[in-house]
Amino acid sequence: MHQLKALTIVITLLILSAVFWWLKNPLVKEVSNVSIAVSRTPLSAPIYIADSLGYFSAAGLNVELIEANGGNLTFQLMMDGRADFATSSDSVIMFNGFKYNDFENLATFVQSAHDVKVLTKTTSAIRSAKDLKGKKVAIIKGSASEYFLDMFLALEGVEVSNVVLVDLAAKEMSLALEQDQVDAIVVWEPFAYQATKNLGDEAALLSSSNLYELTFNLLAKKQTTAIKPKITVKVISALKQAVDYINANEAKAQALLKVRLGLDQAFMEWIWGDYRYDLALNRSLILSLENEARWAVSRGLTDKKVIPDFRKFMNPEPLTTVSPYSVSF
Amino acid sequence: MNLRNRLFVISTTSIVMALIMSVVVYWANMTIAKSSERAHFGHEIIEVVSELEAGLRGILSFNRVVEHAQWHSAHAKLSQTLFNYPLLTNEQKRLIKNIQASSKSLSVLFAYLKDIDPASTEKNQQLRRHIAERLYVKMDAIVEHSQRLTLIAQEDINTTINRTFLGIVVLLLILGAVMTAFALRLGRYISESVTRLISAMQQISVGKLDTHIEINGSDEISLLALGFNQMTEQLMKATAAQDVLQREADRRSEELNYLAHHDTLTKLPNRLLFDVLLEQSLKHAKRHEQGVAIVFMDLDKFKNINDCLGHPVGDHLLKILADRLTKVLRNIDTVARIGGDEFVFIIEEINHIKDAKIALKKVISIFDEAFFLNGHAIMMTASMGISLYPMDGEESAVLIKNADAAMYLAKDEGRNSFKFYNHMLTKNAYDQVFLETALRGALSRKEFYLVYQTQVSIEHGGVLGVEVLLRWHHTELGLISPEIFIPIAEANGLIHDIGAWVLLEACRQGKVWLDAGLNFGRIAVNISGLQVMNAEFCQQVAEVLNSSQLPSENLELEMTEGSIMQDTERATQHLKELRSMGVLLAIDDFGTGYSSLSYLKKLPVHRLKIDRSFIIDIPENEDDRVIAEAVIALGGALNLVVVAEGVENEEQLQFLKARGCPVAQGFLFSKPIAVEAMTGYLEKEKIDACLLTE
Repeated sequence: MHQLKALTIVITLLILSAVFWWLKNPLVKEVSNVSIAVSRTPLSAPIYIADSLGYFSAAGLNVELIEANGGNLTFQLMMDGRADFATSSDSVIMFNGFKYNDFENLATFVQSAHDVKVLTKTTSAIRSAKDLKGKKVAIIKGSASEYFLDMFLALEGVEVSNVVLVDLAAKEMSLALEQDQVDAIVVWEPFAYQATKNLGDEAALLSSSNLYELTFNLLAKKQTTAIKPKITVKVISALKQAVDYINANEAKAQALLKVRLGLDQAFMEWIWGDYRYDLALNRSLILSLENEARWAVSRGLTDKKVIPDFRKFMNPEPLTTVSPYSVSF
Repeated sequence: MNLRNRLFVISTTSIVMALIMSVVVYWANMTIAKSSERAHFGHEIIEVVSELEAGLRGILSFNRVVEHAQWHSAHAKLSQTLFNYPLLTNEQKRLIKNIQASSKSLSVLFAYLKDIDPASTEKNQQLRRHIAERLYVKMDAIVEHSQRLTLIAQEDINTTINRTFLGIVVLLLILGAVMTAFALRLGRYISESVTRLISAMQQISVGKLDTHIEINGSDEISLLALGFNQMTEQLMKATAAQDVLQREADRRSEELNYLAHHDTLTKLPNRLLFDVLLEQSLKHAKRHEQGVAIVFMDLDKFKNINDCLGHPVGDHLLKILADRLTKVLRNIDTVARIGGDEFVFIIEEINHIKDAKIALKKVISIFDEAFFLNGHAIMMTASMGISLYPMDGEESAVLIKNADAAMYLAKDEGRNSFKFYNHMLTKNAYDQVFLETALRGALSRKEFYLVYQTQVSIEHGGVLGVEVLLRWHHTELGLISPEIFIPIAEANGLIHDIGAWVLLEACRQGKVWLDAGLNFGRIAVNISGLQVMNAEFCQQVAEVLNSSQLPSENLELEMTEGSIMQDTERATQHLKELRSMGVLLAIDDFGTGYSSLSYLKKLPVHRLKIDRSFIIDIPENEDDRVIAEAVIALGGALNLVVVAEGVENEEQLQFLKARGCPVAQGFLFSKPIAVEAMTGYLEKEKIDACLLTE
């Protein structure tokens, strides 16, 4: 009699557990197709890690990564509707904030105070900003590259008009410097590293750390987040998992990135110390964007005279859902 | 495991749980303290940043050395604070890293800012503003991160509190579950054990002494069960011995019960059992609306058998009789022996009086055959009285009384017969009872008195004696005849007291007359047979003579021949003793009884009194004349003085005189008269005697 009772209780508990498990983990998952335009740089590590470790698919997302060299290109892919999301730096937001009003920033996931670098040759005798007067300097127009150079020069009291600017794509820079088509290049990683590697002993890096803090952000068109709020949250949730993974397992994360991006260990050591992966959406980013925008207006980097209201380009809602303390406005 | 250990396990589990909970609470306390420290740390950084902001504002406004110093000291403080940061989680580490990067940016940007001359070109001022703004942005970023640090720490506190709460709840639930399980098991174990014990005890209580409790354990309850088993074993042993005793006791009590309810001689039911059986049969009869006859039977003159042939022969006769009665009555009827020669029957299912008669005739028929006893063939008869339920009474006591009364009627009416009860019997019995009650108080109420009748010499007419006669005057009933009340007094034993009173009173009066010089000869007192047989009678007579101072030769005691014949031996002995005291003795009412002349000869008496029934019809009745002559002749032959009673006329006197009868008594001389009249009579007699002498 007692054994029968016990058996009944055990079976009931098993059935209840199964039902509970099924409710939490439906056997048939709804799978959503999502495309992300991703800048091919270790800055985009959270996207790659989330993809590699299956965080996206676990969240029911079938993610297509569209790789591009630089935030401008990824931004353009997103605005053209070829990608749902894009990874771009704050300067891309700042410059495009003057042109568009239908995109928004969902989260900053990395910062670096030394990603954009000024490279020259040891043979050129260029050692500081003052030495760049009258020289040919390669930049990527409308990006952090252009903004950074302007800042770099201004701080040393050099007018940008005293420098010959050459607009190049990031991947063209190394060769241009090697072949002396330009005297200096202003480029971000991993192109700065490749150029250094290509130049070998001839490579000279001008001191510029902590002058400009670059951020990488997840952007989307406003209509995308409005139509797919759940998918947006799932993407950010996967990124959060990836960021946590990177901070907890730095060596493993580096190994994954090396394979994924075809990078070598030396490069990883070159940049890793500068990158701080953290999922956030900060008031200071808005202030920073305004500061950069004001600078761009005053320096004539844009033809607009009024800086945009960058608050309108922030959508803290999905991140708040995932991690409430990561939003500071 | 014994009960104490079980309870010990329960309490130990509770204590362990309490200790675990204490550890949990301690851990929570430590964690909260650490988190509070971190939260405080966030605030500290924000404070430092506000100092930095104040410094930057000063620099932008005044750009003095003071403000520069303030900035640098605040910045140094920030670095120091960050250096001192306590143990970190990954997320906190990341935030600190961010703050450190911002701090570095602050120092780099500040280095540029301080070198820009505020008073220089418009472009320089623009650059200065831009850098200042950048500084503010960095400081804001630091504040943001610090706030996040604080929030995370507070979140940690909340999490810790929640976890602790959850932990304690879970522990309490586990504890509760474990305790409940333990308690239920223990409770069930105790309950089951006690139930087993109870059911075993119930088995014992209904006599199943071989009940055994299975023991599986060594705890207190098992020990109790073990003790119980040992007890039942002992009990079984003790009971076996007790059973033997009990059987013996049962046998004895059956025996006693049989003895108590049966007559040992005839094996018939005795009075006790008869009463029970009668009650039963009356109930049965009432239920079935039937009649019952209750028959009282008494053997006629059974006493004679005992007296003449001895008790063993009498007993034998009773046994034979019991056998015959049992055979002659139906199985459903009952026969019981309730006294010496008294039997009683219950004859069931009587629907008509003739049913009872048939049964009684069968009973009487058993006396047609002689009883062979000790070589003698003896014919016996019996008298029976019958009462019928429900006509003669509905209760056993009434029916028995009525049957008894009817039996006495049968005896009175000549024995060897049966009589049905009729209500007149009850009436007589009522009178009898009433008189008996009245008689008991008569002495104390002084309702008795004596009258006196003279006995005179037929030859010269002188007074030779005075017979004392007892009279009873009841206040309501008036004068009651001695023939009525003497048998009652004899039956209930009052005769002794009354007789003693009469004797004393007579002797006292005799002495009075003697003292007065009156000659009365003898004073004759009638004595009952019971008095004569009384062992103390002679002693009593001596005391009376002594106390009254009457000379013994003045006292004559009269007794009937019947009273002497009951036990001649004893009577003779008593009479001899009385005679030796000098008392005169007379046989009263001679001729009516069954006197044996041989006995009469042996008796130490002086006189014979011829019964009045033989005198009254003299001289007309031939038979009476012959008897009177014979008695007078007998007296003369035995040398006894003959006294004729009831002499009422001269013819009778002449007849007696002619036959030589010396003394006469009767109305011819004097009626029984009161003491005063007798005193007067004697005084006159004395004067006459004197005259005669003179």
